[in-house]
Amino acid sequence: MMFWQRVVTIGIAAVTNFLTRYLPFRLFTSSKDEEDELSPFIKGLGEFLPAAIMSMLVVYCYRNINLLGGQSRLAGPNRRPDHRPGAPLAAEHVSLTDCRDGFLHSIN
Amino acid sequence: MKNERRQSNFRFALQTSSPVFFGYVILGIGYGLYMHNLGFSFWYPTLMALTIYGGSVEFVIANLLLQHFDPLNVFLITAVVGFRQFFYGISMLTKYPHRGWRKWFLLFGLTDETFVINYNLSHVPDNCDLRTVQLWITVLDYFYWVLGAFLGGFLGSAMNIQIKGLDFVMTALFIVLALEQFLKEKTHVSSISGLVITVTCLLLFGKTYFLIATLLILVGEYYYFYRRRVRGGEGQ
Repeated sequence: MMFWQRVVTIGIAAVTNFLTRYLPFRLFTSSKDEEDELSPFIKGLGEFLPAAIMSMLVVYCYRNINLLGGQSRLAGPNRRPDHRPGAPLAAEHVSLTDCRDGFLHSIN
Repeated sequence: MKNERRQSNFRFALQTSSPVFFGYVILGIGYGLYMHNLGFSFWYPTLMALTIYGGSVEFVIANLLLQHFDPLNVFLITAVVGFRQFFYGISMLTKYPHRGWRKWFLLFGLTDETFVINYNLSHVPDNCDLRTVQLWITVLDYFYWVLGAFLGGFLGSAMNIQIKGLDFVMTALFIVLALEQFLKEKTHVSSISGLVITVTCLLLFGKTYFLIATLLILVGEYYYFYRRRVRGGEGQ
């Protein structure tokens, strides 16, 4: 690939990537930017999706684990760092949050 | 007084974005090293981080740069890999009321991590301004990523240190935010759908296409609920 072709390739990728982020605003808001003008379907979709996307991103972080493979790489010395199980962290977070809320409740 | 306020906005953004700092710098270094290994000079990863600003897209484009020039293919692959960001945009429609260059920059910087943080950011300390904090977080995340890509490319072969495990910070961030979402929401339909559908799609479609499949199915699912609710409303 020649130099200018590399520059064009990067340029196309940059513009396309920006468009995936920008298009919703272009398509679903008017020039007046009023919230009321969003169609109820799109507005509802914007409220429904985030929770699902959060779950999706957690799964995304663990995508390299072969769930159906016989040998689990979740544990043991050969465990990849990005395969660290998140459950202990989750448990810790919940109990810490509970402690904090309990504490705040007791002093108020 | 105004200056003080500006400082506290920045400080709060710095604090809130700190998990992304670790995640992006480590991942960025990995990406820079990766491009170095493909034979690119350090300014390629830096330039791509500056212009494309999307980790997964950049990794793919790095490979495409070594193949024949094919603009249509570049467009299609970028659109497929970046597809999920379209839905971040939909979710942020009401959360980014900024105008002018601020809006353009916020949209340019709407990566997975920035979306997760700025979406969940509803309460800031009294001496901070939510809109400004969102903007600072976007600026900082951008800076972390470019810094990492530059460092990785620049240090290239010189750096033989392996930094393992620190990128788990980002996974941890996602887990914590998903969990907080789960604890505060009234119904778990969306969270659980996200989990079940993503895992199913990963098994069915593999690593390349599972995000697109998941998002399309989620939209379909919401469409079903929406239709049912509209029809229920008409029936009354």
